[in-house]
Amino acid sequence: MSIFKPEKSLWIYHLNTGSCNGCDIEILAALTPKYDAERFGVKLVGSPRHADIIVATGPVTAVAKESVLRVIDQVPEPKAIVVTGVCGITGGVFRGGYSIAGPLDTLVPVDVYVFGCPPKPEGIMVGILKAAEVLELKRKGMYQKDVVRISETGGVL
Amino acid sequence: MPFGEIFGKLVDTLVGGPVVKPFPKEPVKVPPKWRGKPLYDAEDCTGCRQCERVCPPAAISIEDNKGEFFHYEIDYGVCIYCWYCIDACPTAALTGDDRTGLYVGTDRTQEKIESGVPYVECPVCGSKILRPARTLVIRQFKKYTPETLVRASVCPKCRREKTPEEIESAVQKFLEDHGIPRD
Amino acid sequence: MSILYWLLWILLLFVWALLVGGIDRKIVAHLQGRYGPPFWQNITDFVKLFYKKGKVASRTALVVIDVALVIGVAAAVLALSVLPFPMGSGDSQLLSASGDLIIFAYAFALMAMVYVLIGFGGKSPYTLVGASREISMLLSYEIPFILLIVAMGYRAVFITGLPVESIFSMSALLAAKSQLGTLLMDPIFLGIFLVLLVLGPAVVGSVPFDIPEAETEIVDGYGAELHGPRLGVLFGLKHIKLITYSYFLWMVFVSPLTGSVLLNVLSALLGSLLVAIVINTIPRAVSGRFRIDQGAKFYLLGPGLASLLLLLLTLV
Repeated sequence: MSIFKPEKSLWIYHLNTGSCNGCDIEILAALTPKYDAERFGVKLVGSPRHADIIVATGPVTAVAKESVLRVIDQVPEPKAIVVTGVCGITGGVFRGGYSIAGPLDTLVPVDVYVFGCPPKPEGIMVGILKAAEVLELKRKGMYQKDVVRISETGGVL
Repeated sequence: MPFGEIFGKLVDTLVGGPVVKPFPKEPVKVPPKWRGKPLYDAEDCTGCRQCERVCPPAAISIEDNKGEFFHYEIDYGVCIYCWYCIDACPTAALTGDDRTGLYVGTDRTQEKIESGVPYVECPVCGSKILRPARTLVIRQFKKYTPETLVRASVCPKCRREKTPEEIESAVQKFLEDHGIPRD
Repeated sequence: MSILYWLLWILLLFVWALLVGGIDRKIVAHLQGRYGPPFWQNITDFVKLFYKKGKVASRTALVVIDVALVIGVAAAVLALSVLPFPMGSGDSQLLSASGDLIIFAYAFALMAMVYVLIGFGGKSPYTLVGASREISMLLSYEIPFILLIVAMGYRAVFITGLPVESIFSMSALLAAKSQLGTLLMDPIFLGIFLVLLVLGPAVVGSVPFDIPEAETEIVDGYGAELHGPRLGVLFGLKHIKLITYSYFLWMVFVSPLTGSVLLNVLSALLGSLLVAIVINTIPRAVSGRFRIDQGAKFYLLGPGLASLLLLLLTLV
């Protein structure tokens, strides 16, 4: 019954950890009529306590680090973290800067990486749908970071 | 009345139908001149390191073990897809992927190229030089075969100091010794 | 037997409320040129919230929030119990007493106070701002709302010629409706109906006046600290509030009387959907959010003066 399947309802929280705003614009573009992520039950929520999926952008700056960790801690389980753009993955052009507290996956476990600078809105949508599969595995207690490899195009599409 | 205009637009939208791209059903279409991944072909590389020099986020890392192997690596987790390296490459070893739009994964290290150029022996003096790039071999000999590759691998020092006859006989001997087919 | 029917009806109405929420999202999506989520999306959202487990901030007063949610559910049930429900021939009420119209208005104010309590229980700056904004909204729309309820009571007694004890009772309104066919035939009731429609977005908290829960400014306002099952109850409460208000407007003013139960039920469901579209969906599609001072000024000057005028006309 897909009506009662929790992974069909994805409330995303958009977390900016010091991004240049490029990825943020693409995340919003994924919600616009041209791409319409709401077809898959995606809804942008304002409070991290309401969220299922965190879509993070930007290298984690030293100033933002504490707040980022607190916000991620507030998201109820099961949760999934999607990192968008190369800044969040490795630091990108800001890699090794004096004000960078490391990419996000050195601080918290990250589930899905969306490559690009910035990625296409379709890429962000595929990332969110992969995070939905991660959420389902986590709910069933079958999630293992090293073992799981999700199909490149996303089985749910 | 702005409200009248708004309602007119709403009716237009309702009649016109959704403008949503058919993305999940059909593969993603990228615009013309889309810049995807830079792809590396080791056969064409001369090891000039121009790409490493121009790369803004330093996504290209090169480790040159002189005489052994020329390690070449692009980390797409750092690359900003600006294609400066492609513009800088003199031998077209780097080409751009202008078809694929989506790179999504659950593993950070999956999007990476690890490749490199081996060192070859100079047929005349036996010193180690970087394998000549395919583009340069074709420019000189009009074709890319094992024999022309050996002829192109003569090191600059030998070209400067040896006569063409000496080089030709040394190449012929090298081809026979190594059993390399001739054209 | 009647209470059993009524409980079934409440359950059906709750599922219908979630479906109306989904249909609302679907219609807004199509108005914006999108496909939108499937129309059962809000049921999925509601069910999902009960799977979530989160951490509670140490400053949050969970007792206040739990009590507030229980009060909210009770207020919703109270409001639905005095409303007519389709059964047998025509409409009937579960609880009928003189003054039940006042109980209905009180239940609605109580539901708004539940949001305020949740906001104060959250004790986060965002929830406190949301709660104070909810209070200012309540003060601005409650005055016209109460004036209109009073005008309705007087007018119903005037039309039906019932004794003055039955003023402010739902049965007088229903009697007036059966006398006129539909209450919209009467000019004063038509005016009251239109002003109640304008009040709708503020009462149910939909977009031009969803100032207390502005998700981009104050991260969902009073509900910012809630998660999991508690958020699910709040989510359901918002839907039941919308459906109760639409259902009230449809059943009391418009709904035609037929002999068949099935037709009555269908008319109630579809009619409440229609009113919900008018007061929730269309404003959401065409308008942005107002500021709190704009909202208060709008309701005190527009519907406030209109309701005062209607009350004076009724008394004259």
